[in-house]
Amino acid sequence: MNQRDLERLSEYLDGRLSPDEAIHLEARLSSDSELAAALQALRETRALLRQLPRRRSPRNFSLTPQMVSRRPPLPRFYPVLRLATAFATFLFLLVFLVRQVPFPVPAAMPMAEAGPAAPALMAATLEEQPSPEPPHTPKALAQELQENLTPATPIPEEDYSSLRIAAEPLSNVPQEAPLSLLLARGQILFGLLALLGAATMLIVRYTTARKWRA
Amino acid sequence: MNESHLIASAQRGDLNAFNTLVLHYQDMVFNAALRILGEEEAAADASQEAFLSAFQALPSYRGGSFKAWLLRIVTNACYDELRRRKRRPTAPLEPQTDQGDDLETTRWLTDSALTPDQQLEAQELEHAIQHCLDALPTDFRLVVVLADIEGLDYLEIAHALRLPIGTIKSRLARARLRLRECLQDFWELLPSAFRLRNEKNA
Repeated sequence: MNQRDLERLSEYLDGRLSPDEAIHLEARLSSDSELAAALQALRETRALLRQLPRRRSPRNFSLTPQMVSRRPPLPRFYPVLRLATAFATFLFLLVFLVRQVPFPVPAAMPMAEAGPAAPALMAATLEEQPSPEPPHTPKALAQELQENLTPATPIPEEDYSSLRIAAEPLSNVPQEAPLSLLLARGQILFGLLALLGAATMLIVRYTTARKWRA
Repeated sequence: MNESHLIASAQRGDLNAFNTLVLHYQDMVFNAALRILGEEEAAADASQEAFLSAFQALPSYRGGSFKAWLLRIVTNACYDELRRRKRRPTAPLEPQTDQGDDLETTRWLTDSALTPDQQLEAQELEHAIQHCLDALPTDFRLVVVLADIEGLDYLEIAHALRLPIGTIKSRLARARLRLRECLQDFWELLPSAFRLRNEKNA
């Protein structure tokens, strides 16, 4: 029995042969015991399969509105992207608001024009540290610097006076330029980052939805 | 409400109408998945996935046998599961030769590799048949499940599997022969009355 005979027998079993083909095959079956046995084997196999017990489904497969509205699974990095975009947007708005209001700069705030004098920079650093105490004068700062940093080796009087000289010009420095420039640049940077993040989120959502539908 | 009305309502987004169809067809869908996958839990998951896909694909349903359309979707869900298994194989489903070709015979099922417990389990008719179904190549198993267990005709199977009818006929014939060879090893375990009844029905 070849492959073609097998297919014919299977089709015959399913009643798919034309009347002429069926008559021809039945003539062969009556004279070919091997072919007849093969037909019987196929018939028994099909009957076994048809009589397999039907199982009841173990649970109800009804859909809930939540299941139906399910969205395509987004990539793992998506929440990070969303958070970063939200953070950039927040910073953009914050900088924007800060630029709208007059920004009082403390009198001793160091500027770029303050010069390279190291004691002045150190004094400014001390000034920037949050402290409940009232603002220090340059003299007080220098005094404090002396007490805190070099208690073991007192600074000579002439060094002390040079500190005061170097720090005094700070109160006369113009207050705007570098800070406002920095804020403007920050606003542009955060705005661009927020836009970039939002655009990436849209692209990720679109491509994921397309893949999901396919 | 008849089936076509329920389908039309479901196509308009009526979830209650669709769930009425789910209740009517869920046993059929689960049984098809069970015979293809051979595991109850995986079959239940595939069934759930199939109904969800069916609801989402309803707008593309253009009439014809709803049963065949559903079986096509559950077949796809089973294919996906089988592909996942292939990527994460736990045990070989089919024996292979040293050259990697599938063995033509399924007699390996009854050799000494089967433990006494497994043989005992296989004495039950259902287990024996499922055992032999599992041993079939996937393409053959899908055809024989849709034809001989779910009762689809050749045209519906060709539509469900997107294959030519000639391929369906060929695979069905070969699947039946392979099942017969496999079941031969369990034949003496089958109830004699069952065999007699089959012969009378023939």
